[in-house]
Amino acid sequence: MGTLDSIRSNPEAVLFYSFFKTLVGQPVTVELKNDLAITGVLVSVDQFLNIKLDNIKVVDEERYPHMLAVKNCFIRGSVVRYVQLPAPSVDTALLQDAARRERQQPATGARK
Amino acid sequence: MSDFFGFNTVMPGRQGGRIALNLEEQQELDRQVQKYALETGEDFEIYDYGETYDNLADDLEETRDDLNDETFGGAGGADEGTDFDFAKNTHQVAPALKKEEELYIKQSDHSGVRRSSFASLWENDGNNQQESFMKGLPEPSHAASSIWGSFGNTTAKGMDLGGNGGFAVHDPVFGQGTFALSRPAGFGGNQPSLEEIEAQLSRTAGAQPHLQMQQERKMMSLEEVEAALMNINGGRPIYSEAMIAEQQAKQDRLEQRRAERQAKQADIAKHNGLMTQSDKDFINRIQISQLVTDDPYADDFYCQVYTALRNRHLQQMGIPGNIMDAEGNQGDSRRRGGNGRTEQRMQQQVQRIVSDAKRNPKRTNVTVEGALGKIAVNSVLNPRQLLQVSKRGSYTESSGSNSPKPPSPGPVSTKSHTVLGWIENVYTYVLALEQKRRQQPPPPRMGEEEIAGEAIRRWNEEYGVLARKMWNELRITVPIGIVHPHPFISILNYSKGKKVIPRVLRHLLPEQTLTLLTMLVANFESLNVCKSEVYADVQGNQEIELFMNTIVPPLLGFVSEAPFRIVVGLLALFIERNNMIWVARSKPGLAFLTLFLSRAEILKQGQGNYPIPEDREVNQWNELYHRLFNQLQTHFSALFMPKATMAEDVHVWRFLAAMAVGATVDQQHVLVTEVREQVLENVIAAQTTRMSPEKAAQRIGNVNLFLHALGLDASQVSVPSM
Repeated sequence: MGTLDSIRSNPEAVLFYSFFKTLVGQPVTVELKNDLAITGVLVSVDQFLNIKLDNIKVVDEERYPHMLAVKNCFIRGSVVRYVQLPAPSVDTALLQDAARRERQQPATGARK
Repeated sequence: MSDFFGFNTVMPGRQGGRIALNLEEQQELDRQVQKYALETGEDFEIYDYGETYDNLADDLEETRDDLNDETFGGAGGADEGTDFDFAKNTHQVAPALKKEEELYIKQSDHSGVRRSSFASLWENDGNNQQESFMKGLPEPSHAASSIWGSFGNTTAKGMDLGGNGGFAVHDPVFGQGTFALSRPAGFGGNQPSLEEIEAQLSRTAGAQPHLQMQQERKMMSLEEVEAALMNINGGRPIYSEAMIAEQQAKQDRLEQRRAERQAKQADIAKHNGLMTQSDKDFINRIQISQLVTDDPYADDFYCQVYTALRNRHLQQMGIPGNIMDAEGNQGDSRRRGGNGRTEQRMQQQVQRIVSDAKRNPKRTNVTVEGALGKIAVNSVLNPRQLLQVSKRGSYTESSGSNSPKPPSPGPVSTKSHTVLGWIENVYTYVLALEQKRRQQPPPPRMGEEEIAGEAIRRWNEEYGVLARKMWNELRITVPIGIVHPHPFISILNYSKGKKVIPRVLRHLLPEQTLTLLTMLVANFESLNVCKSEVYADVQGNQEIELFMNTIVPPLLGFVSEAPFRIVVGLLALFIERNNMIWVARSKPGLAFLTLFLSRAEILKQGQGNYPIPEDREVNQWNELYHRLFNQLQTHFSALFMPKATMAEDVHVWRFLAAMAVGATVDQQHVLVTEVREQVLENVIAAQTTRMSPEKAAQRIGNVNLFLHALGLDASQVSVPSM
């Protein structure tokens, strides 16, 4: 009953995926919903916005001693709260355009 | 059977199915049970079954077995007893076994190379041979003596013991140890047997070959050390003990690290080959099918355009090397080389998947026969909704407003959201036009003009339609005077609107650009960047900068190509419609004035692409100039900002220079008189070295802009004595 109403597509998912693809290789800081913040180099991202980081360093080391020995990590996309990125890596005008396009023509999720 | 491997199997006192103990033994037994019960606290009374035997066995029928042999055939009673004679059978096959063993050894000698590589997986340059022996791995090459032992001895023994010969094999590796192990002689017995085993191992298996290997290794590494020494010291080996020890340590460390790496590789390689190539392709296809797009610009817009722009920047800046290589900043050459092939394969796979997807589109909801509803299939682009909000009314409204509505003919409001809506519509059209540009059909080749021409015509039509819509959306053709500020000016008052103008201009026809410029000039003073108070705050400055960066440059390009009469017309409009004193106070205003003036001068001198203008036009121009001059007279010095920084002044000096070029001698005189203070101030400031040389040079340069136009120079200025 509810599913009939909620059949809507999520075009912004593709935009975020496209955006993160351009950030591969940049140092980013990922803040999770459990308040853990991890800095590392972005290795890869997928369509679910799962993130792989290399050479990680926990932002507040003392609270998470169990992370001392961890070098790389895989973060499930659904637990991410924020991703802090370097400003020069973003082309804001282009991002605005991409967002406008997504609004007008949702990525063809209907195809799937 | 009464003989169980040599043990007497007769149970104590078993006669007729009942355990009979005489009285003494019974009492002794009871006493012991009680003592034990006291010690452990267990109640043994419950275990006294007493006369619980039910004599059921007496009722067994054990007669009428006469025909058993006939039923079951001759049972194996032909040989001695019913045991299988292992030893005798082995003895019969012994020669064949010996031959096989020799063959095997010969084979293993031939395949020594192969075996050493296999062995190296486990044994690591011979360092761990010692360990492998401790683990009990017998080296095949050392099983020279028969692993089957000597059959003569065992057969004899076996026959004596009646069938247990197979048990007492005299193994050269384990020796007597095996025999000792298998006898369950209680706890005490095991320890000596373990020691026995170890003694046997070290005696027979390890000692000699191990020593040999160690010696060999030491000798080899000594040679290596010498060679290394020779290399490092340029051919002359240094035999100091410290150096040798150092080298030895280094070699050891290197070998250790190599050993670790090989061990890790071996660990990983243990599980190689579990999946076939078709399995891997299958999984790859599933993954790629989720990512695949047939129009990367549509689905992957940001990434594609971003990388394209970056590559163009890199190319412009002249970064040496291939642009493709510059992309992967983590890639080493290995990965790049391998990636090339994998990329090709992936592209092929992607093409295959795209064609498959086109043929059978998957649906977002599935209906099963006989089910009472549809099932929504969730994917990344169609996720499960956390909240289910039913929108019945607003749905139909919002669905229709995706495409921008044409401008309504009624009264045009200038509320902010309306103007912002116009701007967004303009963006929509600009994006659509840029997309169209990318899809521009190629120019027709010879002979294909018919077909290609059709496509080109269609493309041109569509492009034109979009361009016209965009033009309408800009509200440039709205007549002046109905609304203040003019809608186009309202658009330009927003930074979003300013940013879109350069992109719009790329798609406009020249006469449309002229109209745009005319409109802008006509309503110039209503621009928000034209207010002089705007200089004070930061945001205002940002807007001004934005204006100067986005709007002025393309229009500058346009005016630089314009003929004389157009420039005259524009300046006339400018002067007529705007308060010059007000306009000249602003940076954009001065910029435009400078633009017009300089262009006119160039054209007058015939340096443009156009012929020298006629006298009539020149006279028109001169008139205009005088009007402008008269309006601005006595206000020239006020053009300078009171506490301006260096950069701010430049445009003023430029404007003054432009004015000076077209001025008559009297006018020039007036100019100099009014601006004299500023000139002197700058020259003095530059000469008294209070500031850095760059700043001083900049000041002098600014002043010279003006002075050169007059035919003067800053060096000619004589500083009046104070």
